[in-house]
Amino acid sequence: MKSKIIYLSVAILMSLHSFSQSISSSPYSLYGVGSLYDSDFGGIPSIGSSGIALPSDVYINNLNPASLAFMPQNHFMLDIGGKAIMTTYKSSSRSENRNNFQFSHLAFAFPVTKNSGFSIALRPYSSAAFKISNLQLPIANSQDYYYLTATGSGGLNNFDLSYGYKFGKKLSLGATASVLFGNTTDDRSFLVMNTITSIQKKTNYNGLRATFGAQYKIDSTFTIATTFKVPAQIKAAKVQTVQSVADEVITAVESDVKSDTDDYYMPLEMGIGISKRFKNNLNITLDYEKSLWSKTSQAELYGTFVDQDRFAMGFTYKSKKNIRKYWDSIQYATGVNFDTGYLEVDGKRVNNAVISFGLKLPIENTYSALNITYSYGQRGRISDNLIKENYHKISLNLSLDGIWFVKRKID
Amino acid sequence: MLLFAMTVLSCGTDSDAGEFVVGSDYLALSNKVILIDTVTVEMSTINFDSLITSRQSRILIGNYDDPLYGKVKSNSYFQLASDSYSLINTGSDTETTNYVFDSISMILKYDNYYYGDTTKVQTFDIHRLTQKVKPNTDDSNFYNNSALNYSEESLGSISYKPRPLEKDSINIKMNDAFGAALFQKLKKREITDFDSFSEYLKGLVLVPTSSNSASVVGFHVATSKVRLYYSKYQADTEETPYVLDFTILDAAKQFNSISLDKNGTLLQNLPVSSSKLSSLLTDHQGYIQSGTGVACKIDFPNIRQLKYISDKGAIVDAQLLLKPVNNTYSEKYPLADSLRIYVGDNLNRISGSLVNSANTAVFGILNKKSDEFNENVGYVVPIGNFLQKEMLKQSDSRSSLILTLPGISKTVNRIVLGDQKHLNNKIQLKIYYISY
Repeated sequence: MKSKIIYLSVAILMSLHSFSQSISSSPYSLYGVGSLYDSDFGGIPSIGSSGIALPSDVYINNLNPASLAFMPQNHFMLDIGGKAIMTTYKSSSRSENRNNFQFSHLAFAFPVTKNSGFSIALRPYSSAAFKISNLQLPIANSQDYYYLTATGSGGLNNFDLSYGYKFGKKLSLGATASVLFGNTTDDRSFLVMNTITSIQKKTNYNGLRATFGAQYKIDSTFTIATTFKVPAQIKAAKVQTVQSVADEVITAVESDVKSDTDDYYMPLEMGIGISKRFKNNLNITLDYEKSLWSKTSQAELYGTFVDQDRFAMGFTYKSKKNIRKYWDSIQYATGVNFDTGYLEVDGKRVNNAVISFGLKLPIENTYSALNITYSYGQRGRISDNLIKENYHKISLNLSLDGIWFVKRKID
Repeated sequence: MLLFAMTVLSCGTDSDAGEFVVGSDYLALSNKVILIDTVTVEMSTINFDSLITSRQSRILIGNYDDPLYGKVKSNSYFQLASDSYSLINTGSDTETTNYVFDSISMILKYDNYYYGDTTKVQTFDIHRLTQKVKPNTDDSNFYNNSALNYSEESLGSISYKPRPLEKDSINIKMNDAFGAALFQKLKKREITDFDSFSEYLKGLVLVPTSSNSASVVGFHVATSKVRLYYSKYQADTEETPYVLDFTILDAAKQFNSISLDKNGTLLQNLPVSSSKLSSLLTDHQGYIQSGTGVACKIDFPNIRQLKYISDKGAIVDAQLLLKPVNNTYSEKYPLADSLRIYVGDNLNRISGSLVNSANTAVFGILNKKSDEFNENVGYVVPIGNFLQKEMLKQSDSRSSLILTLPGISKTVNRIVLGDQKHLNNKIQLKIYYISY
């Protein structure tokens, strides 16, 4: 047990470290606090990131804290994941491929009583990595231009503590406290006429957000669920250095000046979902989530935010045949996800559509499994000021399940 | 161990060339780069007390009537000296007595500087100083307003059309009586050294006459001379005469007295050196004239208000475009290639040259000599560094720019610049500002 905890803590430290390096570079990361990661646990990526109504019985369901109440007794779950993403960026004039590997999440969960469960999860929330080289922009009030070169890095992390409690056999309620923390750096240099002005900005963020969830089992095959993520204010403070380079001489305009900057607001998000099982081997999940971004008093600095709708649907299928045969124990999954996006760039929404296929490969005869998902998605669109990202993504989630605190019944 | 492998794997990523950008309008939002061209620029004309005109290595002589500035005149004073104060000694002592005076001339070598109409006849006279070439001031300098007494009698006169570029020099025949008297002094050994020479001939001054007034011309100090010709008594006519040259050996003992009679011009009320004459009173024009100390002053009375454009902002670059007024320059009165820019205070005291961020002096550079309508002819001055400092200044003192032409102490070039309200040749200020 002791060695397990040591391994875990080392792993947590390592993954914290790797947050700073696993960069998902997207031109859209310019906005907000960066591009949001999707870092779902277990087999959720395979089913189009749907599953608000799924229980945390074979893996941790990160979509709804109420699911923790349905954890099997005496089990200890651990979920860790990573992704390999190949993205093609397309604008009206060019196209470019970029590959990227990133850490997805680290989470563990255990039942507290026979009616409740608890989980701790660490995952990246957003990546503010982007790069702009020598972009020509007009100088306001003139016919002249200046040139902008910019590099963004960093991002926010999410540390979740979740708890779910079951009232009777059918209803469970849950809550998550999410700590959002991290920093983004934004280095820009402006070539205006004969002078370069460089602005180096590091913004620190931290904030707390609560999520509430409920699941209700109508019968043994049919569950309905809902989640509410409450609006939150993520406090932001920046440290900025401004320099100007003229006549080959660097002049400091300001050095490491600390100041408050516009806080980042997270919206009220409401989700509903259902899960229905047919013939004991086909399961369908259906989710809808609405995020009221336009109600937040988001500063102009972060971009234009609009209300977001997200639809997700997933199917899992498992053969009912011989459970001893390995091939029959594999679970097949597929899903779709469509998301209208919360960003509006030049009056156009940045939407996202994904189709996914996955396998759940059980490990030996344990409850542990390796979830492999392939998904293909498209984000944005090609137009004057927008680009389209086509991406192929392989997600590997390792869901480990250990029996814990088993009291020997026979001495 | 598996966990380790996962975390290590997560580190790799491809590089991003930065070719893709979404929403360029948004990018301009957080840091605005704007051009500000509505800042008030005040122009005025000032007059420097005095300019040091000794040791300038130029004999500046001539006068011309300038419709804008008035009557410009330059007298040139100098003291002569020679390497030797004895006649040629070819052998026996007795021969000396046999030399006779032939003639005396002043030879002035063009130094290629001229201003005004050189196709017209210019006249000037040579006069003898009645006082030594010695400064009246405590220092050892002479100024453009220095003057020395001289005798009314002309020792020589020339009326000529200057050919400063085509010809090498001019030759002015001087009074024979003056030459003969000097010769006798030398022959009788009454002048044997510089002291006795300078006691006898304290110096000369070249004075242009007001009747022929067309141009001002520069001559070399080092190579111009007064040449005394003499020969053996009853010598053959083919025999070359002997010469004794008197030159300006001490450049500190040569200066030009440059004056300006502004009566009847817009500049006639030009105040004392610590004050200024606003361009509002001079047809929306600012004036610069070398030699006479007329200079143009530029003030930016509202520059500190730029601080309030945004919460935080900086002037990243700024250009001042100074435009010479149409029809105030021509081939005869050409535009200088550059302007010298100084930083001064409210009393026109100069603290130094205008400098860039690297602390090197910057000039106003003429962008082009002329174009079809002369609309864009002008001097471009980079003043971003200056204005950024002015904007951030905590004290109440404001600095001004003081514009002069190159060769302020040894030329009479002039220029007329338009102010912000000028009809055709407005001064322009472009400030590039970034908010951060």
